[in-house]
Amino acid sequence: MNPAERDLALALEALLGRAEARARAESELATRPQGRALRAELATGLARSADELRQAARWSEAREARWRAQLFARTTRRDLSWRGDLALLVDFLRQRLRASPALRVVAASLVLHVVAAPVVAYWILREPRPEKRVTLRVELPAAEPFLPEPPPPALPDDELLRLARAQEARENERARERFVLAQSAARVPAVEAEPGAAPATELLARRARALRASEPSERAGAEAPDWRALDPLELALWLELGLDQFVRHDAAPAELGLACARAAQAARDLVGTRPGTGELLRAACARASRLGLLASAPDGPALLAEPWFAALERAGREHDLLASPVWRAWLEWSTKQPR
Amino acid sequence: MDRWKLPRDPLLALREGDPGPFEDLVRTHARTLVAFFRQRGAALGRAEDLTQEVFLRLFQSAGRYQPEERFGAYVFRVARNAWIDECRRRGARPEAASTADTEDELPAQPEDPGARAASEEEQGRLLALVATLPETHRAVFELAVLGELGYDEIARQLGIPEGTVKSRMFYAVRRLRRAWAEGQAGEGAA
Repeated sequence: MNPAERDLALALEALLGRAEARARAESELATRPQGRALRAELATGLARSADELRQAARWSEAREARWRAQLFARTTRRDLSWRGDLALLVDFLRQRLRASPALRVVAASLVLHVVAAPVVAYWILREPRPEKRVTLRVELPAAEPFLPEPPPPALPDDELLRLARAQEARENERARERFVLAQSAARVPAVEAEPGAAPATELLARRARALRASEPSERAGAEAPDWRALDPLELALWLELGLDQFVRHDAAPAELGLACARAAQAARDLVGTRPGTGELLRAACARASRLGLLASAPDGPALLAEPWFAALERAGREHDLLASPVWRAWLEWSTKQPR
Repeated sequence: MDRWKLPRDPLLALREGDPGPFEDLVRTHARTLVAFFRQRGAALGRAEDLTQEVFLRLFQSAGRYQPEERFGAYVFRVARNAWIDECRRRGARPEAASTADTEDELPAQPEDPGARAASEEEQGRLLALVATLPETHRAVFELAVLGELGYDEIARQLGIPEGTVKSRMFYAVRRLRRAWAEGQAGEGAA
């Protein structure tokens, strides 16, 4: 080892040696002409080498700052809340994934399944779109020739109009009579036939009782006597009673309508018998005709109109029935009718 | 060479609930450790991870830390252990240093193009000279330069006699000085 190398070794000892060795080297260097200068040069060179090695790392300050923030977040400034726990978990998973290729494959497979499963399920479970298709169908020739369905017989327009108007007139008449009967219900004489009274008187009392009732009798038609056994006056009064029930029913029994219609036909043939009774028969037939139960009939007075009461008085006189309290009550009621 | 003279032991301060010295340690010496790992052949990203691992180990060891040696020596012992673990994980084959991941992360350059070129040239020459050192000499030189470790500390780190450390350091420095002087003489002649 030449003197220069000896000086270099002493300078290094002075810089890197133990404390006592360093002190010895320092004192020995002090005795040499270039000793201190060499030590200073060596110290500068080592420090410069350290700086250049640090520079050679090519670590930019921005990147260093980011790295430092991450480190502080994991050490001195660690978040102790659930976010910190989550960050620790994520870091752990990241480290494990980075360390294990097999784990990366498993994780990628899991992600693929999670992502792909809904897509596959959608394609499997979605409703198929309706396909556009063209269908050609060839029919075999029919054994029988085609015959079009005959059109229904056409009615002339004026006939249809006439039927409609007739129906409308019947409905109007029925509604009007229902109104008249309702208005008269409170004023109808409340008198009963005496025992042994004539059938006509009995029918008149029965009509008064029916008019006073708040509801029409359901059995009015069934209770109707055989009209063929009645005399003309009784037939006229019975027909009025039946027609009252027919009008007051919202849906009159079919047998009641049929009995009234047949009785009206019979009454029409008896109109010319006696003047008073004939008038009552005419009035009943006219009423049945207005209600659509008789095809053609002579004109007659309206329901409970003054001419009808006049006819009732004449008919009572013809049959000597005016002495009956029932007849007197009806005729007295006629004088109280509003004109 | 007194960068590792710290006003207060960071780990003892941590134990007492004061994170300031530890954060100062990170600010002043993280670059040194990154350079250490880069010199060992790690790419920049890997060097960052290893440096972070070193500081994490230090942070986590604060509770059981006993200051039995100089703090700089302790830090470099942890760093060497981290590097050994890394080599074991990677099959004891240190990866080649790559500059591909640093091309967009270059440090700020001097404004003067001439000065910058001269500085880069000098830096590159010194690094090239260090790279020509034998691996055993280079390890001693780097610990002495970056870690500012003494002979005895380097000997304990590397598990070799102190005399061997002195010898390797002597030959490394002598070789670098000669090569540097020859380079300077060559430039002067040119």
